[in-house]
Amino acid sequence: MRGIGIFSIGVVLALAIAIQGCETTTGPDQVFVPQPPAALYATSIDSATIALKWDHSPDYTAAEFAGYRVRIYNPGGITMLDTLLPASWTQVQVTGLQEGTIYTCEVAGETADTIGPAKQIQWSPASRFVELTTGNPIRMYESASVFGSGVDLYNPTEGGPVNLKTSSGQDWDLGLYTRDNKLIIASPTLLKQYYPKTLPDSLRATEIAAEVYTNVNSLNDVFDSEALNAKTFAEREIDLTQYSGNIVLVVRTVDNHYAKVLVKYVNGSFLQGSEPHRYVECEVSYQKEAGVPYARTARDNNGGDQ
Amino acid sequence: MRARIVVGGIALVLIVGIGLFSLPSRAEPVAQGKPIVGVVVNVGDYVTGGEGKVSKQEAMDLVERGQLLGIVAGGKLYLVFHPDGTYAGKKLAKMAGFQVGVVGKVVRRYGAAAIVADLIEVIR
Repeated sequence: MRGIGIFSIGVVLALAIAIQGCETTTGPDQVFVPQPPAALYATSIDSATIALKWDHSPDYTAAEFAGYRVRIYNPGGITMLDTLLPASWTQVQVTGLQEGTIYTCEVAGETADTIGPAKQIQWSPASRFVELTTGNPIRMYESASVFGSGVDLYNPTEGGPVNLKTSSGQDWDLGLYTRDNKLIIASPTLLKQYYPKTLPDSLRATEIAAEVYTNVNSLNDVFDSEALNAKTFAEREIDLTQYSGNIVLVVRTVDNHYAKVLVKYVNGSFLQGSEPHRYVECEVSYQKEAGVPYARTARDNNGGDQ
Repeated sequence: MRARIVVGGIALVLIVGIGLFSLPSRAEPVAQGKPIVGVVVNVGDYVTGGEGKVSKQEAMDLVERGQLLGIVAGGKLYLVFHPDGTYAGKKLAKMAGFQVGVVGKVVRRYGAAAIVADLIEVIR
């Protein structure tokens, strides 16, 4: 008798496992459990807003598929957002968040009575800058110009990016070099060879990710599916002559702040304006909190591939 | 008394400024692309004997109150205008406190000077 009881539990468990392992199977006694989105991506829009984007669940055209359940939790597990979006949607912006806070974002398929397993990503809002603190666009001027060829991506005293000459190169995060038919954006330490007399000896070793985003119209087009510290960072020279459209660089500053820098390609050129004050124009998404949102882990110094 | 002098000074500069642009333009040749480098000043204070020095916040307040800012470079005062003829005070205000380079065309009338600026940028 007792043996029959154990056998029954075993059957129930086996059935449960079978149902769990066959998520989209439907039948008279089975619940349709929608599969999660095929992929989930995030990006920062501004200091209070993130955008989520996903690839459709394989089940999104099913009759039972009611939509996507989007949930966002703060680090304490408090639900910041819990909403059902139409099945046709693959993108949403969430605002009212706080820069530097790492949020856990989930997207799952939902039916009338079931929420499927979720895809999850962690992200944080980051500040967006389209201007220097002087109100001008963010520019790095050609090497021959009296104006600055480098930028400090975020000056905490002034609250934004500043343009700086080589003589202030100790505060550069990125610099531009345009002599000798070159058109290079690089880590300041690597630019020392091009500005041997004018750049100071003490320079920031800014790192740039190996992956350069192309085919982008704006920073809002650049989504990631994983933490930025998963990328391969090293001090690099980016040869702009190799590109023929806007590019986005992912940058890690020497004090472990992450940023994305859109370098604009306008009317067939990165260099705009008139000689000798031509310039490269940028937009910046900058995470003011060191090491956030992309990594809480220690700075990875072994990731370089050059 | 000082307020009257300041108002008078501003009125004078305005009249000269208007005169600069209502008469046929006689542009002074400037070295190709060479910027005029100076500092942002409160014109009212400068023309009444002060140094005219202003911080960014002071400069923004002045512009908000409709007062004039200019650039002093090599002991000369310049008003700065955009190529469309609009006054560039708001832009100058954000650059107050720093050395500022202005690339453009210098126009002189009756000893007063203005720059029609193609480019205004802090140099630091």
